Amino acid sequence: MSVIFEAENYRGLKKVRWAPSGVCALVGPNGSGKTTLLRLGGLFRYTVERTLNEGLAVSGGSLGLKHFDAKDTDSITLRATLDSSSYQLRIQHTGFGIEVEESFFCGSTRILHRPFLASRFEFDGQSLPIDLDRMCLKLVADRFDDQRVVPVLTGLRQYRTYRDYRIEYLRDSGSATTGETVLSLQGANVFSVLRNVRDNFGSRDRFQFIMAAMRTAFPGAFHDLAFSTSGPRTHAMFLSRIGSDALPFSSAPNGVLCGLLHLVAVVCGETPCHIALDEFENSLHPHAIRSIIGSIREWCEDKDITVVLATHSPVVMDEFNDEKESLFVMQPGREVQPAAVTELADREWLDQFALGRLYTGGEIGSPNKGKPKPEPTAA
Amino acid sequence: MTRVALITTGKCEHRALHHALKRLFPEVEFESLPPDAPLNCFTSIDVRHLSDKNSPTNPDSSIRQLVATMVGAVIPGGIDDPFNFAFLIDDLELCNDGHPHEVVELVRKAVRSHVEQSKWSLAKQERVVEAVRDKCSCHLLRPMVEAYFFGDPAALARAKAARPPQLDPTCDFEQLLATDPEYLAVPDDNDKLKPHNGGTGDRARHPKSYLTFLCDPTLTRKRPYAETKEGTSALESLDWHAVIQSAALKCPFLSAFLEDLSWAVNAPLDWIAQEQTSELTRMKLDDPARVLRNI
Repeated sequence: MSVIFEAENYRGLKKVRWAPSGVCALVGPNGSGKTTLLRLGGLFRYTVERTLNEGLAVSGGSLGLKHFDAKDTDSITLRATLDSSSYQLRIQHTGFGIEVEESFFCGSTRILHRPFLASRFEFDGQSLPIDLDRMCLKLVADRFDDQRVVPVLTGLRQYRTYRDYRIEYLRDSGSATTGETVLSLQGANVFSVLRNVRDNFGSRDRFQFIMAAMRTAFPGAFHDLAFSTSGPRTHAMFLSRIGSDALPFSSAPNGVLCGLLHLVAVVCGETPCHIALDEFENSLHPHAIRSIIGSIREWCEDKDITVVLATHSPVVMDEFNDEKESLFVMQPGREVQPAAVTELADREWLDQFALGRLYTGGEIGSPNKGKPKPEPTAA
Repeated sequence: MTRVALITTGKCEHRALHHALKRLFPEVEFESLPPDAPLNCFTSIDVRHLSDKNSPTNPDSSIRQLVATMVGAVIPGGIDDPFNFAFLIDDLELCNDGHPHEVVELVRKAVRSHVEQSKWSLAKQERVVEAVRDKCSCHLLRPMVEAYFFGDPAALARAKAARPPQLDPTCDFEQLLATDPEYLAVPDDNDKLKPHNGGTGDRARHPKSYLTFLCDPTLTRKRPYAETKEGTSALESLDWHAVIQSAALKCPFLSAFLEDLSWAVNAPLDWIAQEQTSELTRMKLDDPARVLRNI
């Protein structure tokens, strides 16, 4: 089951409520908050695993936290809800820096409360000292193994947002050799992860799935790959076709590298997991886009994996023409974002159009939506 | 307030036609659809020789995209409230100038295919057919919107024409014939005057080509006439009355469009008589075979 994320007055998000599941897409104008929304999961994940400052660091830093339209008296509120349990953070700037109020609710009952600027917090009627290196939720889970809070904590640990892959770094330096089997957030460990996945009997099917998906997505440009280790680094060579010479990945097309990283992010993820791929279409030919989305769907079909593709590509959107409820739009003018496109219009009306055409035409996700029309130039 | 959607194909019409019509019908709200960018023109190739890709039975064809947008504008359930009327407006283009009835037939087939291929129930299909017959029209600018600028000297000035045109006075603007010897003497292979769609066309009858020449008779500037700039400026304040009154044959296609629109918004124009409108595209509300208001 997906966590429902809510946010108010947080960066570019005035008010959001979102619980994506399955393979879905998120679209909207530049600056509408797509990336901020994708990073909400990471903010919660790194906050509860480490500290709020670390959560903020992986989700855009600590500047500009408050929405421009928020009043001085409005607070930044972030909430993650699983079943009837909610973990809530309220954030404010004080003279001492960024302060947080932390609450955990079971239904409507608050069982954990850490007020702003407090040195102690309340949990189940007990007053406990705050640990500056841990959020109170984590402290309670660690100390009491409280089964009211552990499922939420576990749910929040499943979120990973991938963006800004380190393509040039991978070309120049390969990956550090590690035992990791999950892709790091900018993909720098991809060759090491792939090698580990290939060499582990329990995960070899994942490697084979990725290779087959790559061949389909990049016919004539990718056939196979092999690894080499030099010191602490793992490098990869690839064959573009049967019988061709092996080439270092430093000469691989950008699209091949991006496609590989997307597939490793999804296929080598833990299960259950929630993966967001920001600017999914970057460097990818329409054939590769369609093919990789097809492979992602195939892999996720019988698994508890949610994949969100943030995109401006009409080609990506058209892959959701038969699954319109899975396309979410940051639609300017709506009070709560995002909205499934099927919330914006009747399905029968939508069926007249390809979703990509509605996006390029400006009916959905346009920055001009709700804005005054331009006056005549010669008036 | 009556709301009218304008489904246009050129950048000039998309940016300016709603402003130009607002001057004629100030009580009506006009909007270009799709809001952010025009759709592709379906008449830039000879419609008698369409590939399967451009067939009206192909939902991805330009004509079907236009029809879908027109129909979507007037039926409920869309992203915005339905419009009271939707007008699809495209250039006839010189390559189809000799057979406008074929263009109209293509539209008719596209409308029928759009409804027949929908996933709607039969009852819904019937409701849509009725709504479209009452609220939608398709009109043609012959051969393209720039032709009408020649009927309004102020529009030509806004387009930055450097000198007045020389036209055959017996021809209507919709069958414009340039007699300017300097223009006609420009070699055929001059890139500045070649139509964008690659057709060679008839130079003397090509309004945009002649307007481009008038904007820069020396043909030295890179882009003397741009739809998004000079074209938009010319169209948004076009004097419709002057255009029609000064035309030899009263611009039958434009007259049909304005007459249909004026009746739709309940503001008839007393300077347009039905006799001067094109029989092919004039409003035909009493025709039981029509699929749109006028086709």
